Amino acid sequence: MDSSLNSAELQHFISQEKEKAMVNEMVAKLTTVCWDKCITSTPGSKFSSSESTCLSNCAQRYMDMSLIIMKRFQSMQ
Amino acid sequence: MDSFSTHSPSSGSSPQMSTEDFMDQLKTQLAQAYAEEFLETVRGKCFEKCITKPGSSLSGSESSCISRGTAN
Repeated sequence: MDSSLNSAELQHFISQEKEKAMVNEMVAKLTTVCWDKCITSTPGSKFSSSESTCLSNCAQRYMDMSLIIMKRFQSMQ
Repeated sequence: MDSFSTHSPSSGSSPQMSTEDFMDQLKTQLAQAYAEEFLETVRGKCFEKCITKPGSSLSGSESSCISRGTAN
C-alpha cells in the first residue's frame, strides 16, 4: 500500500475539506443571522409558528440573495 | 494504516514545486480568500438592511435594495 501522500491525493483531500468547511460556515452563518432576524422577543419553550415560518423563509431568502450577489460580481470579473 | 509514521521526507514521490510557483499559488489563494471575505461582507450588510421580514419569496423592493447594494 502506498504509504506516502502524493500531490494529487493531497490536493483532492484539501479541496474536499475546503468544501466541507464552506458548507459548515454557511450553516453557521444562516443560524446566527436568522436567529437574530426572526427571534425578536423573549424565546418561549418552543418556536411559534410565525417564528418557524420566518426561520425557514430567512434561510431560503438568504440563499436567493447570495445567488444574486454572486451573479452580479461574477459578471464584473 | 498510519501513513505518517512511514513517510520519509527525503523520499517524496512528487516533484518539488519551485519557490516561485509556490508564491504564485499562495498569492492566488490569498486573492480568493480576500474576494470571499468581501462577498461575505456584502451578503451580511445587504441581508441586514434589505430583508427585514423574510417572506416566501424576494419582493420587488427587496430585490431593488440588493441591486443598489451591489451597484458600482
